[in-house]
Amino acid sequence: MNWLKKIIRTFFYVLSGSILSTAIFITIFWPGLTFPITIVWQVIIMSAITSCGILFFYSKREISKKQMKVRLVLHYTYINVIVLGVAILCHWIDPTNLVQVVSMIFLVAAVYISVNLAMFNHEKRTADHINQRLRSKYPDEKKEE
Amino acid sequence: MKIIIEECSPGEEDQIIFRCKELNDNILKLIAELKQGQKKLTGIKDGNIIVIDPASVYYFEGVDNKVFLYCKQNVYETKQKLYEIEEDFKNTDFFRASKSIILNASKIKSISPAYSGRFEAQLFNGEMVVISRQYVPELKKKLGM
Repeated sequence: MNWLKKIIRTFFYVLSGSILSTAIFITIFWPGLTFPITIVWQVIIMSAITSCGILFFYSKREISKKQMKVRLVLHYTYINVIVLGVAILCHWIDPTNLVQVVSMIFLVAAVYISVNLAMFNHEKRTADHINQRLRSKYPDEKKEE
Repeated sequence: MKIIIEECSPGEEDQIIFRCKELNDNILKLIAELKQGQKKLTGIKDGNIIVIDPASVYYFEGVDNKVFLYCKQNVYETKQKLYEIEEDFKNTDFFRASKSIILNASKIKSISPAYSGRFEAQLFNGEMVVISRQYVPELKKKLGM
């Protein structure tokens, strides 16, 4: 259930980032053109598939820092493959146009960093709340330092 | 909190009665301490058996079917199993931090995010311990969050 919640939360982060990226991409490469509603659904489906990539971090055992780095690389590769695959299949980009391909990779990196920053901030807030509670519940423990 | 001591009739069993509005964390902790009595832990180091006050334990760790208890500077082996320790120290400051670690919340200096819902706890003795994603709610509950 916890993982389902995480997937749903990630989905909304990715969806916001993807819509923003799509708007930037279309403004740069196809300004003035109008698109059918199907493109919105394509973005939603792509966001849902990429959100499931969070399962790369699922493990029944404790993940070491090294394993975590490997999983991060695999996750990032998965995101790139899905986004570029969907972009080519749905004709968002011309695979022979290097500028479009590179721009897409750049946008994926931008969304990836933004999503991870947002999730880090969420966890940072939780950590801050826990630290506050620790300080109020154990005010005398500092003496041990 | 008011403390009333009444003398009981000869032959009557000694008893402790808590009159409270609700069973809050402090009272639960007090009950746990009463149940444990002056329970001490025994640790083995260099073939010597040492009696240890549970309050001085930072964390317990299970490694290769052995359980170790970590104090401020020293590490001792204990013959108790992790699940027994978890049961014995329920309603105290100890909580399960990962599959192999039971951590003393009062020894946590601060926590910080460690990606994917995990947190890293810095202890007052400078050690770092990972709190698994699935055990974070247990820490929050322990802190009344």
